[in-house]
Amino acid sequence: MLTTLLLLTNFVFAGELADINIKVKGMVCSFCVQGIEKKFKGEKSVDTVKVNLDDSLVSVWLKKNQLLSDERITVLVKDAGYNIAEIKRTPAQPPISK
Amino acid sequence: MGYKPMYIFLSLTAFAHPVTFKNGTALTSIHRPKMTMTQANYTIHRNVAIAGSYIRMDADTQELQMPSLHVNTLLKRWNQIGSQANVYSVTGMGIELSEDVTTDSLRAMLGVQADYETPKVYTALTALSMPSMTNFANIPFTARYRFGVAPYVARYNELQIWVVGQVEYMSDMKHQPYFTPMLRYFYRTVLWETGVSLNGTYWFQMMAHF
Repeated sequence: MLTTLLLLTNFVFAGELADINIKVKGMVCSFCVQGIEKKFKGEKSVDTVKVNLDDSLVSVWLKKNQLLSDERITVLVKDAGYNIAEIKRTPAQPPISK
Repeated sequence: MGYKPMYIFLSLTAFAHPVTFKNGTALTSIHRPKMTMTQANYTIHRNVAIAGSYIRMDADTQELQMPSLHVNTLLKRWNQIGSQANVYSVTGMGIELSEDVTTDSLRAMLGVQADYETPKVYTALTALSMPSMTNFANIPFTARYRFGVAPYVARYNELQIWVVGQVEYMSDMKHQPYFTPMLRYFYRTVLWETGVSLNGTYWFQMMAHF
């Protein structure tokens, strides 16, 4: 239980769990962060994005009733210059694939 | 133009981030004694950027200028958790602007860069040549190797400092190679470097991503 809580705190922003957490390969500097942030912030369905360089983690909060598919996430990450290691969604956000 | 000014021109060329991210723009300027290089590149595809560069140099008796256009291509990238390695190519053309502009003034631009980076270590090797389009008897060539370490790893909103050593070799120049220790500063979307080579030549570079 404690371990689960500790893990979840990695994905929390302002007391709210991120809708989607993406482990990204290749992020090594602040220029990398900027590229990822710009790509996700340009999506209409995205409300907030936070990048954690230490953990190679991109956390995304979606706008109400909005969706973001795994395919679209993959395109955004690749356009930023990186690759995806893993996509995790909170229980309210089931995997979405075409 | 003589070949020695061309080597100096080549030494100004920087390909720090030849390709950024799709629809990203990078602006770079490098300053050395009596020389300035300004470059802008725009990434049109995740692997390709178009770029324009302008180099100006005050030689003994005249001012030399060279605008150029080139395409930067990401040939191969390896992304791992906490590291990235890249191989780029640069191809384009420039023209020496002087009092006598002839067909010899047209120059091809051919370059390649390989780099590897983690949050704490950075290394890059760049090679560039700008042969005349009409005279292949002497082809100026320069190579630059860099190695940097980060004494600490900063967060995105903190200043990141790197200690970098740069070694340059320019074919047919005396007193080779040239070694320049420098400090590199990273803050969010801006990078700048300051250093002085062991032969007293200062180096200042700024780069911003948008």
